[in-house]
Amino acid sequence: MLFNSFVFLIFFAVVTSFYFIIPHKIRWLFLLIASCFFYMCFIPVYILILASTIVIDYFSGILIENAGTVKRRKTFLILSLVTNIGVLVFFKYCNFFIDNLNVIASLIHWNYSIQSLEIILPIGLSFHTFQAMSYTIEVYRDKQKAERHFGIYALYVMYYPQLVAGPIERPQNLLPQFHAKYVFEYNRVSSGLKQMLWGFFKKIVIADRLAYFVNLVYDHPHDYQGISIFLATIFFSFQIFCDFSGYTDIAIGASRIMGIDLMANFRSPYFSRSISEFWGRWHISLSSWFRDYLYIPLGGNRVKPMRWIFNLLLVFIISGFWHGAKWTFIIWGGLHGIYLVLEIFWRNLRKRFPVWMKWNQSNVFVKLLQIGFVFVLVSFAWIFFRAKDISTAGYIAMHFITGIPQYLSNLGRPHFLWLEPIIFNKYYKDYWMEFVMIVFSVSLMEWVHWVELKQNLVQFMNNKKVVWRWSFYMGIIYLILLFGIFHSNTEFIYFQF
Amino acid sequence: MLRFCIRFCLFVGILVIPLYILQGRFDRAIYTGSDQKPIWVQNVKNESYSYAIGGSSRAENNADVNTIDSLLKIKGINMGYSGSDLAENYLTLLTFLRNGNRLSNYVLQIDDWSLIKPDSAFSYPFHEYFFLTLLNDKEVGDVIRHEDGPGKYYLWKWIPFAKYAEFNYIYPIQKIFVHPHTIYNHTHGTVLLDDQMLDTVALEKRLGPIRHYPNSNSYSYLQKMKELCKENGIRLIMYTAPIYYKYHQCIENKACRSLISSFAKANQLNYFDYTSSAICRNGDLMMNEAHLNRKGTLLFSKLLADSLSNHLK
Repeated sequence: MLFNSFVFLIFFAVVTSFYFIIPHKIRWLFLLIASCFFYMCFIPVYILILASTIVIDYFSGILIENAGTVKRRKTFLILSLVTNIGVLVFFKYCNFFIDNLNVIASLIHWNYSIQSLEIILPIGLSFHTFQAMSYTIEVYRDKQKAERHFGIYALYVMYYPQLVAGPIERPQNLLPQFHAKYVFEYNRVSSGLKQMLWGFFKKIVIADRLAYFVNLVYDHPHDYQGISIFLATIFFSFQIFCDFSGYTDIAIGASRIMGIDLMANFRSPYFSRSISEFWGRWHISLSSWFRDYLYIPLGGNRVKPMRWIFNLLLVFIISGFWHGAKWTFIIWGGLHGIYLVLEIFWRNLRKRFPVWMKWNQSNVFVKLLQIGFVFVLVSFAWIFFRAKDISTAGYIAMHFITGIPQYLSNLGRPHFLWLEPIIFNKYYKDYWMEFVMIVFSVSLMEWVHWVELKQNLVQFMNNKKVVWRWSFYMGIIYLILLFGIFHSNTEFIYFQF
Repeated sequence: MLRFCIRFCLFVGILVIPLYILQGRFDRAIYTGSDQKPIWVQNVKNESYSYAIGGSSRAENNADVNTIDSLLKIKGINMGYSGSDLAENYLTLLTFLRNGNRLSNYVLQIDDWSLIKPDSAFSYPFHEYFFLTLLNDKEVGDVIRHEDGPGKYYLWKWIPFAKYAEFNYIYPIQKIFVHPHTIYNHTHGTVLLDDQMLDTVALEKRLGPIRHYPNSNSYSYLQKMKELCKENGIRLIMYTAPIYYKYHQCIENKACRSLISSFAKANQLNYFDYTSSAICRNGDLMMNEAHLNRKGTLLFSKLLADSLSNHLK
């Protein structure tokens, strides 16, 4: 059941209505049943895997808390982590290791190949596994009391709005909210619905429309000129943002209506002026997970410089690997690690510059330059995230910038179809409206982000007269109906992780 | 909660009124101005034809009505269109007759692809979007509900503009109010393909065994078409258009072929099978393995006219 389907809208309306009708005592049970149903709409049998890890983590949490010695606590923690990571490795990484072993075997002329396993990755496995691990680690660190109510703990892992693609919640935030009693609140419901609407707009109008152009180029990159490759990559940057943040907005909005606040996952990431700032604004729940449970335990930045660099690179490579069992994801993560290391070097180097050489950081032009530079770097890294294999990624990366001068030099020539390479299609005349819609929608979204740098969009709109507010919301609904992509019901990109 | 409900209803009310108006505008614009072939057929009203040719692209592209008309001195129309299965052929004939048109003979191009499951025969199995303007018609609605499921049918029927939102890639707003020039008035529905010739060498390289099994749902529409013709006093004639012989040899289709033959026999219908005619052996007359090029179509249309000459009502 995809968020961008009509079935979900019905499911959501029914679940939310009943949630407020039934007594508080049994709401957890109702939400748990609804979440099970939601999960079983994908591959029903996989709920058994989820159920078994829930049971193990539930008891691990209690055993960790009750254990008298540090050694025993550690043992139960390891039991929980091994179970979770074991499931993740088996379903997500087994074939990756088998395929690479086969490559190595053929390189050393070892005439033996291991058969790949025919398994389908359970949906959202990486997300709920990390959320479950977060619980046992927090209990081990004495930052969270073990949850004694099995149903509430199961709901913590299975809560349907964030079950398949996050945000990866922390027990301190989510568990107490499942115990609390909520009444119907106008402002909360209204703002939740508005956030959902905004999420639908980002996914259905922008991401899915951009996907058409991105897929054209990334499926057959050799058929396209440099400028098309550059633009397709830029388009992908917006596509993945709208796809993932659109999902997150729907999840947060749906949850807020029921009174449960999920953590923010994005804060206008493409307005970042440095890579470190980008990672504080992009997929915040995952980057903070890696920071708290991997980077800091490794020593963080309170170690020797070389070790610090190692820590950074390792965390980013693992983060890349978390996304998918492919070398392209590892390179993507590694590339961001390298960006960060270079940024640290640059920051240290700049301290030694004489004053006249230093940029005025508050200058608007400097800010725009920094935002643009970071955006291009991030977009370049997305090539490896999107490309189907390393050779395709290599080809696109090699042609990322090179086509622009050639395109610009052709602009002045008579009969040069300046729009054709941009719209990637010889039938570009049929697609000009699509292109205009994309430019308009992305501009609208970035305007909203610019507004959100200062205040929340809903608060911003609440200060306007009702005529303007309702016109804006209705305008968004009309844009979704007229320009949304409904026929293909495209999955969210992050569902595959 | 009451405050929320009142505001929500008010918001939905204000939202829905323009959607109803927009849906009405779309209905009108599509029904009267679309350049899509089936909608052109739906706009033919109060005409009288000796015969109509129905079927998929193998009817639309391979039977030239102008040639047949000039040879037999009669008036015909080609109602076939690309990717249409028997359910759509039935709906096209039904809406054509509803418009006060009179018809003496319905010549249906039928083959394996008409009878196998539509999703394995065509890239888009059922083109419901050609019939959205007729959604409130009971019989059209029944077919759409049967093919797309009740969920979609009621969504499109009861939620204003939902049907055009889903198919906004077929009917984009920037094109909806632009009335395009339609070619069908001059060709009477036939679309002749270009003179490109079949690359027999390339085809033979990619040929492999294909199996076609009839599908009961498709067959039920054949029965319905027969009933519809009977009710309206129309003579149903069937034919199978030429297929390139090497391609045809690869297809295991005994079940489909015998079903067509037995249907024709049981209902005493004329059935002409051209899959073993001389045209099928000449790659120069084919555009691809299942479609004739312009030259092939003109030749085949003479052949078809000759076959029909003694059997038309």
